[in-house]
Amino acid sequence: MNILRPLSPHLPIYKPQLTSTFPISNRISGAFLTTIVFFFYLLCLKIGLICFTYENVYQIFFYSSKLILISVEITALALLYHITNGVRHLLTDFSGF
Amino acid sequence: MASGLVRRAICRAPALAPASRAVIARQHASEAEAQQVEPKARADSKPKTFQIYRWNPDSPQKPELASYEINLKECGPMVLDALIKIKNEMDPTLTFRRSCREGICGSCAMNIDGRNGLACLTKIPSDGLTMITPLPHMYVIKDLVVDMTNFYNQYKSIEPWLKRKSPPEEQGKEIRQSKEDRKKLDGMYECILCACCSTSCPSYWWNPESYLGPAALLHANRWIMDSRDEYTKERLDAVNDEYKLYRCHTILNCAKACPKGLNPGMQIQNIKKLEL
Repeated sequence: MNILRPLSPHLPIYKPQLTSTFPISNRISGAFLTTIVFFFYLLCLKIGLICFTYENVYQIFFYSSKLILISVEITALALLYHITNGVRHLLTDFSGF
Repeated sequence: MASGLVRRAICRAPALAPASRAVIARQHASEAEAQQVEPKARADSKPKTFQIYRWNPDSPQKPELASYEINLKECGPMVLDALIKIKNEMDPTLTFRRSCREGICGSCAMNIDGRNGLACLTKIPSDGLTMITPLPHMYVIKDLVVDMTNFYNQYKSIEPWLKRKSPPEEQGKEIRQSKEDRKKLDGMYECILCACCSTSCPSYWWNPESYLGPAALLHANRWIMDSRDEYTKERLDAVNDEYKLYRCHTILNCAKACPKGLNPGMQIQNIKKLEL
């Protein structure tokens, strides 16, 4: 028989549940925070660690983040969510349900 | 019951002569109160539309969702009743697996309204549209029947039988097990291998051949926790693979999908803890 069998639909039809949305948003928030940390690290390499002693550096970061609308709030939310999920993982993986 | 049918026939026949109608009506006068309940129940029919995934290997085109309308008053409560009714009355080519109709064989596992479950145990939701598709991310043989060979091979690979190094204490008699040891198997031996849990796990969708899946891992734990089995260390080492066990990220869709109420995620946690 040389007919290719189709794959039954998975992501398009499966109802998103509480159990499935938590881990994927953990991964998404983790990826988001990683890109931010990565670019921040690259920037620091370029400028040099001496920049942290200069007080206007923090002003530059604050005002440049305002270019994108609520980026600071979203980053804070992602960080909080990622940490909370990480703690939940630690609790369940090392002491059962 | 026959008298009720006769009475209903009389009610529907408008051309009857008034005299004969009076005679027949008088004959069944004693059953008048009992018969009055029936016409009200017959008044409205509840239509319900099912959208069912169809694909025919003999004339292969793109798979499609075909709509079927069913009157819920003439159908049993479970989705399997509706499927059988569609197959009997509307479309005999609809193909699906079924056997026990009571939730113990695991044949009728399919995806109903986005959630995996057994068709014989899932009640038909009374409103709107219901979508029935086969188990997610499996190769479709026809309509709602999927290819389960990979799933069964993974179950076979964990060697689900008793393995002992030493002969039993009493030759020819059963190996003794205390009640506490037997209790450790509760929550694992009830698994009917319906594959609802494994096909609900996104991790299993993306790595079907390398990740064993919640069902096989639940059974692996069942044999690891069995006090009569003496190959515990070898079983733990066999599963201790980056792909076989550790693709589980505790998404826990499996526990939500299990029609028998088991929790494969918890059993996988058990294995992970034993590996530490």
